[in-house]
Amino acid sequence: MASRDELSLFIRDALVAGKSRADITSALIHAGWSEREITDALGAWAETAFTPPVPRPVQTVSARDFFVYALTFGILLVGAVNLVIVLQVLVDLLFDNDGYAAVGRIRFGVSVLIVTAPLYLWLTLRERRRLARDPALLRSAIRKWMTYIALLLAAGTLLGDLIATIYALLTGDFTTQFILKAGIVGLVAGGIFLFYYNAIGQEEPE
Amino acid sequence: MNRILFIGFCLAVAFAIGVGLWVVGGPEYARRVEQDRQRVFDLDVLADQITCVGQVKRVLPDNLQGLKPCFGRQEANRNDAVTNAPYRYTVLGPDTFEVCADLAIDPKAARRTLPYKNDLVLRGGNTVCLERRKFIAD
Repeated sequence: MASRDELSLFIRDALVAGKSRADITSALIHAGWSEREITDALGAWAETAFTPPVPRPVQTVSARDFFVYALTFGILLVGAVNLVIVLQVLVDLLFDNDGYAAVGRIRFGVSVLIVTAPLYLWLTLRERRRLARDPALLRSAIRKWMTYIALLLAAGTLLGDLIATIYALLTGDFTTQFILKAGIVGLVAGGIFLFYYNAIGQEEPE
Repeated sequence: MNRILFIGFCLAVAFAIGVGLWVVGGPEYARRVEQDRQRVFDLDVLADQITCVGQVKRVLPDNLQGLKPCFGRQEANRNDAVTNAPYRYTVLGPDTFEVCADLAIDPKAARRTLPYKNDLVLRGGNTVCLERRKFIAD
Protein backbone atom coordinates (compact mmCIF):
# COMPACT_ATOMS: atom_id res chain seq x y z
CA MET A 1 0.00 0.00 0.00
CA ALA A 2 1.46 3.33 -1.06
CA SER A 3 1.72 6.15 1.48
CA ARG A 4 0.66 9.76 1.04
CA ASP A 5 4.33 10.69 0.61
CA GLU A 6 4.54 8.35 -2.35
CA LEU A 7 1.32 9.85 -3.75
CA SER A 8 2.83 13.33 -3.47
CA LEU A 9 6.03 12.14 -5.12
CA PHE A 10 4.05 10.50 -7.95
CA ILE A 11 2.11 13.70 -8.61
CA ARG A 12 5.29 15.73 -8.62
CA ASP A 13 6.93 13.34 -11.12
CA ALA A 14 3.78 13.32 -13.29
CA LEU A 15 3.65 17.14 -13.34
CA VAL A 16 7.36 17.28 -14.20
CA ALA A 17 6.65 14.81 -17.05
CA GLY A 18 4.03 17.25 -18.39
CA LYS A 19 0.91 15.18 -17.59
CA SER A 20 -2.30 17.16 -17.17
CA ARG A 21 -4.13 17.23 -13.86
CA ALA A 22 -7.09 15.41 -15.43
CA ASP A 23 -4.81 12.57 -16.61
CA ILE A 24 -3.15 12.31 -13.21
CA THR A 25 -6.57 12.25 -11.50
CA SER A 26 -7.94 9.47 -13.72
CA ALA A 27 -4.76 7.41 -13.25
CA LEU A 28 -4.97 7.74 -9.48
CA ILE A 29 -8.71 6.94 -9.40
CA HIS A 30 -7.95 3.86 -11.46
CA ALA A 31 -5.30 2.91 -8.86
CA GLY A 32 -7.86 3.18 -6.03
CA TRP A 33 -7.19 6.61 -4.51
CA SER A 34 -10.25 8.58 -3.41
CA GLU A 35 -11.14 11.90 -5.04
CA ARG A 36 -10.59 13.71 -1.74
CA GLU A 37 -7.06 12.30 -1.40
CA ILE A 38 -6.25 13.19 -4.99
CA THR A 39 -7.64 16.73 -4.66
CA ASP A 40 -5.64 17.30 -1.46
CA ALA A 41 -2.45 15.91 -2.99
CA LEU A 42 -2.85 17.90 -6.24
CA GLY A 43 -3.71 21.01 -4.20
CA ALA A 44 -0.25 20.88 -2.67
CA TRP A 45 1.13 22.02 -6.06
CA ALA A 46 0.37 25.42 -7.56
CA GLU A 47 -1.54 25.45 -10.88
CA THR A 48 1.09 27.07 -13.01
CA ALA A 49 2.88 26.23 -16.22
CA PHE A 50 6.22 26.72 -14.49
CA THR A 51 8.44 23.66 -14.18
CA PRO A 52 9.47 22.09 -11.97
CA PRO A 53 6.05 22.23 -10.20
CA VAL A 54 5.79 24.89 -7.50
CA PRO A 55 4.76 23.64 -4.07
CA ARG A 56 2.09 25.56 -2.13
CA PRO A 57 2.91 26.63 1.44
CA VAL A 58 2.29 23.94 4.04
CA GLN A 59 1.35 24.13 7.71
CA THR A 60 4.23 24.68 10.10
CA VAL A 61 4.96 23.31 13.55
CA SER A 62 7.36 24.97 15.96
CA ALA A 63 8.22 24.65 19.64
CA ARG A 64 7.73 28.39 20.05
CA ASP A 65 4.16 28.12 18.71
CA PHE A 66 3.45 25.29 21.10
CA PHE A 67 4.70 27.33 24.06
CA VAL A 68 2.80 30.49 23.13
CA TYR A 69 -0.50 28.88 22.13
CA ALA A 70 -0.57 26.23 24.88
CA LEU A 71 0.06 29.03 27.39
CA THR A 72 -2.56 31.31 25.84
CA PHE A 73 -5.26 28.65 25.66
CA GLY A 74 -4.37 27.24 29.08
CA ILE A 75 -4.72 30.70 30.58
CA LEU A 76 -7.98 31.18 28.69
CA LEU A 77 -9.34 27.91 30.10
CA VAL A 78 -8.31 28.63 33.71
CA GLY A 79 -9.46 32.26 33.46
CA ALA A 80 -12.83 31.38 31.92
CA VAL A 81 -13.53 28.72 34.57
CA ASN A 82 -12.71 31.17 37.35
CA LEU A 83 -14.70 33.98 35.73
CA VAL A 84 -17.72 31.66 35.76
CA ILE A 85 -17.03 30.64 39.38
CA VAL A 86 -16.76 34.26 40.60
CA LEU A 87 -19.90 35.38 38.76
CA GLN A 88 -21.87 32.33 39.91
CA VAL A 89 -20.83 32.81 43.55
CA LEU A 90 -21.85 36.47 43.29
CA VAL A 91 -25.26 35.29 42.05
CA ASP A 92 -25.43 32.86 45.00
CA LEU A 93 -24.66 35.68 47.43
CA LEU A 94 -27.34 37.79 45.78
CA PHE A 95 -29.96 35.16 46.61
CA ASP A 96 -28.51 33.61 49.77
CA ASN A 97 -26.73 36.09 52.05
CA ASP A 98 -24.51 33.47 53.63
CA GLY A 99 -21.37 31.41 53.22
CA TYR A 100 -17.78 31.77 54.33
CA ALA A 101 -16.76 29.28 51.65
CA ALA A 102 -18.35 31.53 49.02
CA VAL A 103 -16.14 34.42 50.09
CA GLY A 104 -13.09 32.15 49.85
CA ARG A 105 -14.07 31.06 46.35
CA ILE A 106 -14.45 34.68 45.25
CA ARG A 107 -11.02 35.55 46.69
CA PHE A 108 -9.38 32.66 44.85
CA GLY A 109 -11.26 33.36 41.61
CA VAL A 110 -10.39 37.06 41.68
CA SER A 111 -6.73 36.17 42.35
CA VAL A 112 -6.72 33.90 39.30
CA LEU A 113 -8.41 36.55 37.13
CA ILE A 114 -5.98 39.27 38.21
CA VAL A 115 -3.12 37.09 36.96
CA THR A 116 -4.68 35.41 33.91
CA ALA A 117 -6.73 38.25 32.37
CA PRO A 118 -3.88 40.73 31.72
CA LEU A 119 -1.58 37.89 30.64
CA TYR A 120 -4.15 36.54 28.16
CA LEU A 121 -4.81 40.06 26.90
CA TRP A 122 -1.09 40.71 26.40
CA LEU A 123 -0.39 37.35 24.72
CA THR A 124 -3.39 37.64 22.39
CA LEU A 125 -2.71 41.22 21.31
CA ARG A 126 1.00 40.48 20.87
CA GLU A 127 0.23 37.45 18.72
CA ARG A 128 -2.30 39.39 16.65
CA ARG A 129 0.33 42.02 15.90
CA ARG A 130 2.78 39.28 14.86
CA LEU A 131 0.16 37.67 12.60
CA ALA A 132 -0.66 41.04 11.02
CA ARG A 133 3.04 41.62 10.30
CA ASP A 134 3.67 38.11 8.95
CA PRO A 135 0.57 36.25 7.61
CA ALA A 136 2.76 33.16 7.06
CA LEU A 137 2.38 32.55 10.81
CA LEU A 138 -1.31 31.82 10.19
CA ARG A 139 -0.16 28.44 8.84
CA SER A 140 0.83 27.28 12.31
CA ALA A 141 -0.67 23.81 12.77
CA ILE A 142 -0.44 24.13 16.55
CA ARG A 143 -2.38 27.37 16.46
CA LYS A 144 -5.08 25.71 14.38
CA TRP A 145 -5.24 22.68 16.68
CA MET A 146 -5.43 24.79 19.83
CA THR A 147 -8.17 26.92 18.30
CA TYR A 148 -10.22 23.85 17.43
CA ILE A 149 -9.64 22.39 20.90
CA ALA A 150 -10.95 25.66 22.39
CA LEU A 151 -13.96 25.44 20.08
CA LEU A 152 -14.53 21.82 21.13
CA LEU A 153 -14.39 22.66 24.85
CA ALA A 154 -16.65 25.70 24.40
CA ALA A 155 -19.15 23.68 22.37
CA GLY A 156 -19.09 20.86 24.95
CA THR A 157 -19.68 23.35 27.75
CA LEU A 158 -22.58 24.93 25.85
CA LEU A 159 -24.16 21.53 25.28
CA GLY A 160 -23.69 20.59 28.94
CA ASP A 161 -25.22 23.91 29.98
CA LEU A 162 -28.21 23.28 27.73
CA ILE A 163 -28.66 19.76 29.11
CA ALA A 164 -28.44 21.04 32.70
CA THR A 165 -31.02 23.74 31.91
CA ILE A 166 -33.49 21.25 30.42
CA TYR A 167 -32.88 18.86 33.32
CA ALA A 168 -33.52 21.69 35.81
CA LEU A 169 -36.69 22.55 33.94
CA LEU A 170 -37.91 18.96 34.13
CA THR A 171 -37.01 18.55 37.81
CA GLY A 172 -38.65 21.83 38.81
CA ASP A 173 -35.35 23.51 39.77
CA PHE A 174 -35.65 26.16 37.08
CA THR A 175 -35.31 29.09 39.47
CA THR A 176 -34.16 32.64 38.73
CA GLN A 177 -30.89 31.81 40.50
CA PHE A 178 -30.38 28.79 38.24
CA ILE A 179 -31.28 30.76 35.10
CA LEU A 180 -28.71 33.43 35.96
CA LYS A 181 -25.99 30.84 36.68
CA ALA A 182 -26.72 28.88 33.51
CA GLY A 183 -26.80 32.17 31.60
CA ILE A 184 -23.32 33.04 32.86
CA VAL A 185 -21.95 29.69 31.65
CA GLY A 186 -23.72 30.15 28.31
CA LEU A 187 -22.43 33.68 27.82
CA VAL A 188 -18.81 32.85 28.66
CA ALA A 189 -18.68 29.60 26.68
CA GLY A 190 -20.73 31.08 23.81
CA GLY A 191 -18.53 34.15 23.70
CA ILE A 192 -15.35 32.07 23.51
CA PHE A 193 -16.90 29.85 20.83
CA LEU A 194 -17.99 32.83 18.71
CA PHE A 195 -14.64 34.58 19.17
CA TYR A 196 -12.59 31.65 17.86
CA TYR A 197 -15.17 30.62 15.28
CA ASN A 198 -15.04 34.12 13.80
CA ALA A 199 -11.22 34.10 13.99
CA ILE A 200 -11.09 30.87 11.95
CA GLY A 201 -13.60 32.30 9.47
CA GLN A 202 -11.48 35.40 8.97
CA GLU A 203 -8.34 33.35 8.39
CA GLU A 204 -9.91 30.72 6.11
CA PRO A 205 -12.11 32.68 3.70
CA GLU A 206 -12.74 29.58 1.59
CA MET B 1 -17.67 41.29 15.84
CA ASN B 2 -14.56 39.88 17.50
CA ARG B 3 -13.58 43.33 18.71
CA ILE B 4 -16.95 43.61 20.47
CA LEU B 5 -16.54 40.12 22.00
CA PHE B 6 -13.03 40.96 23.14
CA ILE B 7 -14.16 44.20 24.77
CA GLY B 8 -17.13 42.36 26.29
CA PHE B 9 -14.80 39.81 27.88
CA CYS B 10 -12.56 42.52 29.26
CA LEU B 11 -15.58 44.26 30.77
CA ALA B 12 -16.90 40.97 32.24
CA VAL B 13 -13.53 40.25 33.85
CA ALA B 14 -13.25 43.82 35.17
CA PHE B 15 -16.78 43.52 36.58
CA ALA B 16 -16.01 40.16 38.25
CA ILE B 17 -12.78 41.48 39.80
CA GLY B 18 -14.34 44.79 40.91
CA VAL B 19 -17.54 43.38 42.39
CA GLY B 20 -15.67 40.38 43.81
CA LEU B 21 -13.22 42.62 45.68
CA TRP B 22 -16.06 44.89 46.80
CA VAL B 23 -17.95 41.90 48.25
CA VAL B 24 -15.02 40.20 50.02
CA GLY B 25 -13.21 43.40 51.07
CA GLY B 26 -9.52 44.16 51.04
CA PRO B 27 -6.64 42.48 52.89
CA GLU B 28 -7.17 44.46 56.11
CA TYR B 29 -10.86 43.53 56.16
CA ALA B 30 -9.97 39.86 55.54
CA ARG B 31 -7.47 39.95 58.43
CA ARG B 32 -10.12 41.36 60.76
CA VAL B 33 -12.64 38.77 59.60
CA GLU B 34 -10.12 36.01 60.37
CA GLN B 35 -9.51 37.52 63.82
CA ASP B 36 -13.27 37.57 64.43
CA ARG B 37 -13.58 33.95 63.32
CA GLN B 38 -10.83 33.05 65.80
CA ARG B 39 -12.71 34.93 68.56
CA VAL B 40 -15.93 33.04 67.84
CA PHE B 41 -13.99 29.77 67.68
CA ASP B 42 -12.41 30.61 71.07
CA LEU B 43 -15.88 31.30 72.50
CA ASP B 44 -17.07 27.90 71.27
CA VAL B 45 -14.14 26.05 72.86
CA LEU B 46 -14.53 28.06 76.09
CA ALA B 47 -18.29 27.36 76.22
CA ASP B 48 -17.60 23.64 75.70
CA GLN B 49 -15.10 23.70 78.56
CA ILE B 50 -17.56 25.45 80.90
CA THR B 51 -20.32 23.03 79.90
CA CYS B 52 -18.06 20.08 80.57
CA VAL B 53 -16.88 21.38 83.97
CA GLY B 54 -20.47 22.28 84.86
CA GLN B 55 -21.56 18.76 84.04
CA VAL B 56 -18.88 17.10 86.17
CA LYS B 57 -19.33 19.45 89.15
CA ARG B 58 -23.10 19.66 88.56
CA VAL B 59 -22.94 23.41 88.94
CA LEU B 60 -21.70 26.14 86.64
CA PRO B 61 -18.48 27.87 87.73
CA ASP B 62 -18.89 31.38 89.16
CA ASN B 63 -16.02 32.70 87.07
CA LEU B 64 -13.33 31.47 84.74
CA GLN B 65 -10.50 31.61 87.25
CA GLY B 66 -9.08 28.18 87.97
CA LEU B 67 -11.14 26.63 85.19
CA LYS B 68 -9.43 23.45 84.04
CA PRO B 69 -10.17 21.64 80.78
CA CYS B 70 -11.95 18.32 80.99
CA PHE B 71 -9.84 15.22 80.39
CA GLY B 72 -8.83 14.94 76.76
CA ARG B 73 -10.11 18.41 75.83
CA GLN B 74 -7.99 21.34 74.71
CA GLU B 75 -7.40 24.35 76.94
CA ALA B 76 -9.58 27.26 75.84
CA ASN B 77 -8.23 30.72 75.17
CA ARG B 78 -9.73 33.05 77.74
CA ASN B 79 -8.32 36.24 76.34
CA ASP B 80 -8.68 37.84 72.94
CA ALA B 81 -5.49 37.05 71.02
CA VAL B 82 -5.37 40.55 69.45
CA THR B 83 -6.53 42.93 72.20
CA ASN B 84 -5.73 40.60 75.12
CA ALA B 85 -9.09 41.58 76.62
CA PRO B 86 -10.69 38.66 78.56
CA TYR B 87 -13.76 37.02 77.08
CA ARG B 88 -16.81 37.79 79.22
CA TYR B 89 -18.57 34.96 81.04
CA THR B 90 -22.01 35.51 82.56
CA VAL B 91 -24.15 32.98 84.40
CA LEU B 92 -27.72 33.53 83.22
CA GLY B 93 -29.44 30.85 85.30
CA PRO B 94 -28.77 27.58 87.13
CA ASP B 95 -28.08 25.81 83.85
CA THR B 96 -27.46 28.54 81.32
CA PHE B 97 -24.58 30.87 80.67
CA GLU B 98 -23.09 32.97 77.94
CA VAL B 99 -19.59 33.88 76.83
CA CYS B 100 -19.11 37.07 74.88
CA ALA B 101 -16.46 38.80 72.80
CA ASP B 102 -16.10 42.09 70.99
CA LEU B 103 -15.54 41.69 67.30
CA ALA B 104 -13.50 43.96 65.04
CA ILE B 105 -16.28 44.18 62.45
CA ASP B 106 -19.96 44.88 62.98
CA PRO B 107 -21.38 41.36 63.55
CA LYS B 108 -24.38 42.08 61.35
CA ALA B 109 -22.11 42.82 58.41
CA ALA B 110 -19.67 40.05 59.26
CA ARG B 111 -22.30 37.46 60.11
CA ARG B 112 -21.96 35.72 56.79
CA THR B 113 -18.31 35.04 57.52
CA LEU B 114 -18.71 33.76 61.09
CA PRO B 115 -18.93 30.10 62.07
CA TYR B 116 -21.55 28.69 64.49
CA LYS B 117 -23.87 31.43 63.29
CA ASN B 118 -26.97 29.60 64.48
CA ASP B 119 -25.73 29.71 68.10
CA LEU B 120 -24.53 33.31 68.02
CA VAL B 121 -26.48 36.01 69.81
CA LEU B 122 -25.87 39.52 68.52
CA ARG B 123 -25.64 42.18 71.20
CA GLY B 124 -25.28 45.92 70.82
CA GLY B 125 -22.17 47.35 69.22
CA ASN B 126 -19.74 44.73 67.97
CA THR B 127 -20.46 42.23 70.71
CA VAL B 128 -21.46 38.64 70.03
CA CYS B 129 -22.25 35.95 72.58
CA LEU B 130 -22.59 32.19 72.60
CA GLU B 131 -25.41 31.13 74.86
CA ARG B 132 -25.17 27.56 76.17
CA ARG B 133 -27.02 25.28 78.56
CA LYS B 134 -25.14 23.01 80.92
CA PHE B 135 -25.87 19.36 80.34
CA ILE B 136 -28.34 18.46 83.07
CA ALA B 137 -27.25 15.38 84.99
CA ASP B 138 -29.78 12.82 86.28
